[in-house]
Amino acid sequence: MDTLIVPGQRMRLLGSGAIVTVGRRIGAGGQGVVHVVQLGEASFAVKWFRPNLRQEGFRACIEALVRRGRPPHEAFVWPIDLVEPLDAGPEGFGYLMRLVEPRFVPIPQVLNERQQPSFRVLATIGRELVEAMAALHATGLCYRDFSFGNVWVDPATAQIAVLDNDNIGSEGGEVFVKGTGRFMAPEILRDEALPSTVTDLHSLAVLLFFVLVHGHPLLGARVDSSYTWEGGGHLTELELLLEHFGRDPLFVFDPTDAANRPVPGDRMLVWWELYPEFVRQVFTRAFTVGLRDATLGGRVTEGVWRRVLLRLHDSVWSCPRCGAEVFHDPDRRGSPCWACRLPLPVPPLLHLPNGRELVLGEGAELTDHHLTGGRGAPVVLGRVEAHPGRPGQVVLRNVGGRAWRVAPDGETLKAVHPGQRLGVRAMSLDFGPARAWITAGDG
Amino acid sequence: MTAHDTPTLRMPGGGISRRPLHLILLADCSGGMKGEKIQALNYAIADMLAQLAIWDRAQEQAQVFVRAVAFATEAVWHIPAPTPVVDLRWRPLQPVPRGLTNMGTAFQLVAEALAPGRIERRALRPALLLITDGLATDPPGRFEAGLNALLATPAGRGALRLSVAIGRDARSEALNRFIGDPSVPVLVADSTSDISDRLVVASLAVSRMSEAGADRAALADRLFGHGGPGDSIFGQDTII
Repeated sequence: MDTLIVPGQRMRLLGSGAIVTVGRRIGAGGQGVVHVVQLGEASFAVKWFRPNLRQEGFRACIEALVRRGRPPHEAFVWPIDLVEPLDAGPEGFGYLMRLVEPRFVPIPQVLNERQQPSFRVLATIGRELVEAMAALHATGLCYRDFSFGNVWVDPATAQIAVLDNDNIGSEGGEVFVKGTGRFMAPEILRDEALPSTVTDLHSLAVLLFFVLVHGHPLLGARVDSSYTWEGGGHLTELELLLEHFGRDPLFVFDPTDAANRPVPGDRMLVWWELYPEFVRQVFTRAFTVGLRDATLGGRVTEGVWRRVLLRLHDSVWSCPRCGAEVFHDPDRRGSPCWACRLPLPVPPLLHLPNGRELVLGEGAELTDHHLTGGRGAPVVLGRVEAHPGRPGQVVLRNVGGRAWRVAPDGETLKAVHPGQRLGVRAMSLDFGPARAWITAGDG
Repeated sequence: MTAHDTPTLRMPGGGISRRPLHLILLADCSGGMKGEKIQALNYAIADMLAQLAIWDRAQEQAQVFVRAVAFATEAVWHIPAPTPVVDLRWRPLQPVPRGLTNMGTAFQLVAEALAPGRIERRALRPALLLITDGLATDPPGRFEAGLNALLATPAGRGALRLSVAIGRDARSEALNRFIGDPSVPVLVADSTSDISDRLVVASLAVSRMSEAGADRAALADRLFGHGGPGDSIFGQDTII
């Protein structure tokens, strides 16, 4: 009997009893196929698996996900219901999920574009990855196969879509997948552990490194020198993987061992240098301690990544000399712009509650999260724009619904009503829910 | 001059650091290829390269560089320099009137290109794709000499070698010897309209080369073992 579904077939949803009609095939692989299906006027997708030896256990895992109902985060393309053929149909089983819109593309496609996304978009993509994983892990589930193949992004909004949710399960549950080679934690490659929340955290760190530094954190000169065409030719890619990502991994920017630095000409060398020290420190921890200590204490958790990526987002501005996008790094004052190589001045800064600082560079946004915390969709309260009359200077426009009271140094108290613009200079501000102050910078 | 007149680099760019994956096409331009066959082949190659370019941009492991040899009685480089697939504009091949199908000379050219020191150490195993509509017509010993020269280079020996036969009659023992792997079949295009599909299968094989663990037997099983060409698009990166 045929083991796949074909267009025109009708299938029943096990939970609701509704009938769907199979449309065109949009994916295929060793496990099975994915088709568009119609449920009335609405389009969904069905992933259909070929019969396999461990089918019952696998099916039970997916049923458990369906029973949970809503996904822990909207990024997950969650199993909605199991499906079965209406009449005599193929063996195997499948599940219904939402159809991923065409606005989502593989993350590498965005990173490989000539017109690359801005630093703010990169930081937001990173944070979206973190939020999705955090929500999953908080419910006691783990993803097990986090890789670029399974995470897509909408470059316009930085929203992500996490595909292939059938590998999600609770830790200790039956495991049907070990992961994707270069994203797998060393202990899995060494066959010492199965995928778990802790190994997800390694995969997450690798993904974030790719997004921000544009390379693999373990692929440097030492790995390069192990490639050879002499003798019997290349080691197999599997052997290389086990050696350099499993048995003896070494971070390309390991502070105590420079043996595996990126090879000359590698773009990682450019990208790494332009990030603030607080970002480089957390990556260094992820790929030194985090490689060796496979525990929640050893790996970098989502809470830490969230703080780092929010701070990174708040650090973006433009080089006042050449216009290149740069970060303000309080730990490396006077470091050169990556594009024009001139030292960067200190930008105007908005000092916020809880020690947060927002660089007042053009395009920066002040949100309710800055003032009162929060994790939902941020509400923009202020937006930094170019000063209409003074080139190189900026204004902060009140785009919220409440007036601000500001006291510029040496001036009287003023109100900035909704819609009004505030020339950025040294002052204290009262936003209502929180107070802050601005330092003018030396640019 | 205002800031708007001066194009400034706002982001560092350069894409993701990836390992080179060299694809070398060996295309039969013998006299028998004239007419619809060469047109179909040119169309199929252009289509395959476009699909490879999409794949190239969408992943983080391999950057595909393409070269091409056109062979008939003699072999010449049609694309001599390794060209990123995303930048390549396919220039149509032309058949050589009364040209023979001498494959050995094409192998010889490729062997020189893959000689030690001519291919980056960090490159992934190259992929060689031989497309022909007929049996080899090499003078005695030349086919073997060319193939031996190719297989004498570590990169040539380690390469994924695929072959598309245009017409069932073109499937030959010579092509099997070029492939050198009983698990990898000659891809037969029964008609000119099949050429494109067969090249899609070949390009999928090329794209899978960069996978960790992409050993040839496993690759062959995945690509040719079950289902159609589309079967390997999805979920392949996963180690079960």
